[in-house]
Amino acid sequence: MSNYDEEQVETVVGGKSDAEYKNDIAAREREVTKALNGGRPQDALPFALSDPPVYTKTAAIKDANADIVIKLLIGFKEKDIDAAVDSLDSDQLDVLMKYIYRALGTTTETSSLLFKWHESTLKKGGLGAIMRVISEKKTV
Amino acid sequence: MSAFEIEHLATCITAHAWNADRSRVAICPNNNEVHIFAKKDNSWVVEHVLTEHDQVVTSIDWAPKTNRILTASQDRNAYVWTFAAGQWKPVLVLLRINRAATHVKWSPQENKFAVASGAKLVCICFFEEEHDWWASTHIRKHKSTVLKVDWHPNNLLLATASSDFKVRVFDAFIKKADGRVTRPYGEIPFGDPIFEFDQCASWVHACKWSPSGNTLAFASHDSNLAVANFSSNPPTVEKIKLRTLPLCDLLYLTENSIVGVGYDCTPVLITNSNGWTYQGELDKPGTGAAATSGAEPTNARKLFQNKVDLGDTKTDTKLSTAHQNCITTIVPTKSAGGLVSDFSTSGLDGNVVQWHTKVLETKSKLKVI
Repeated sequence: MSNYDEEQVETVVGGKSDAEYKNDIAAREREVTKALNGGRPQDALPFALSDPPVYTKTAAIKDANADIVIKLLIGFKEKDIDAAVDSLDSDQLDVLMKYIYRALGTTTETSSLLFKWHESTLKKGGLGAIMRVISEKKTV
Repeated sequence: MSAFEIEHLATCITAHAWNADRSRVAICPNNNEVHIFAKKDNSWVVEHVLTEHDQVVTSIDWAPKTNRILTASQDRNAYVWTFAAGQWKPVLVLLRINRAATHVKWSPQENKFAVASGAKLVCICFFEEEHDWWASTHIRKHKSTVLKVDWHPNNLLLATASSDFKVRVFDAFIKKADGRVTRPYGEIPFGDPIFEFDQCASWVHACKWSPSGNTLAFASHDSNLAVANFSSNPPTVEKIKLRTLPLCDLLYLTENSIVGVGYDCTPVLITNSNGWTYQGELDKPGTGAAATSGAEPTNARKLFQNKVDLGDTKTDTKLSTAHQNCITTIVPTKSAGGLVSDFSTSGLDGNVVQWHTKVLETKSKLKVI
């Protein structure tokens, strides 16, 4: 028997039910679409990064939420990114970094913009933000 | 006066510990031996080599009052070494564990000690006069390897840091060793955690009680530092997200100042004035404002950047810090008036560095409070 039982160690409990997360995602999508249509994606950034579905075990919910957040991130103009990152607090920065890594792992065409996001977030959050992306079990 | 003195004693050092008057230092050079160095004519020379272990020695603790060395190893054993007639003599400890011993610590009164292990438990060891050996009782309740242990100054409470992401506090009262004492949280059954802290989202590298025992700091691999305050029951916990790489070990300089060391290869200062905050690197000329380290390009990154930008293939990997690799241990070497005025660090680069708090303060313009 292995000395390390992952199921035993991972005791991530809390958060919301899948149904509640679905409601959150719907609200988030409305907000993000509105901001993107209005040409001011920065308005929706804090809301998009709040309370991500880290506790759910349903991959579809994480996927749906990630799609919306990533859509918002790549809807930014490059010159707006620094100011948008500057306005975030440390919790939001960690979530943002997690989505940047997720986006870099899934999308293919918009990488240059994502690297700009990465650079900006690293500057504000430090290497610790990357450590938390790598080591935390609460994935987005 | 320089802020530090640096001694290169081995290729890699897994643990180091000083004797009471700091004239000798015991290190493990990443093998099954423990080397005791003594200072002769301004240079450190090997005085004794302790060779009882079969595998890498993971931890050393040198009891200041009773002058006994405690060593633990990946060979699942721990030894208590006593000095007699010019020789260090080992006594085996009956740990009864089936994985490596990871960390050892004498209790403040030196009548017992704790051994952390990969067997998901902690051994509390005490001397049995009638058998003339060190026996142990087990604290289980851990779901993975225990990486560090630390004794509360009251000689009873024990904090453990585990790779199951939790820090736990136990009452390690042993009737045979402690006799009749008043226990801080009453008659708690042995081995039951009194408190369990789940603020970390990754394995916990270090936990350390403050000098008074009122607070407990712990640091984890997700670059978090948390401080639990025991003035209330249950304790309140303050969590700080660090900008730096993770910390591997901690040291309280005063009740309100913590030095952390780890993967950034340099000591950093965290202080408490109405809340704990990261102050910055201690060994770095500062401007007085909160330093903004962490986002600077690391040496590894500079290396690749130069390759891309300049076609530069030179591999200049010397770091600007005193340590050239991850720091794994920090211990106090001199205290005066409630302040640790000197401390020493060792790490994977084989250096033992002795630091002077006052000089570091002046250099970095940071304030120990």
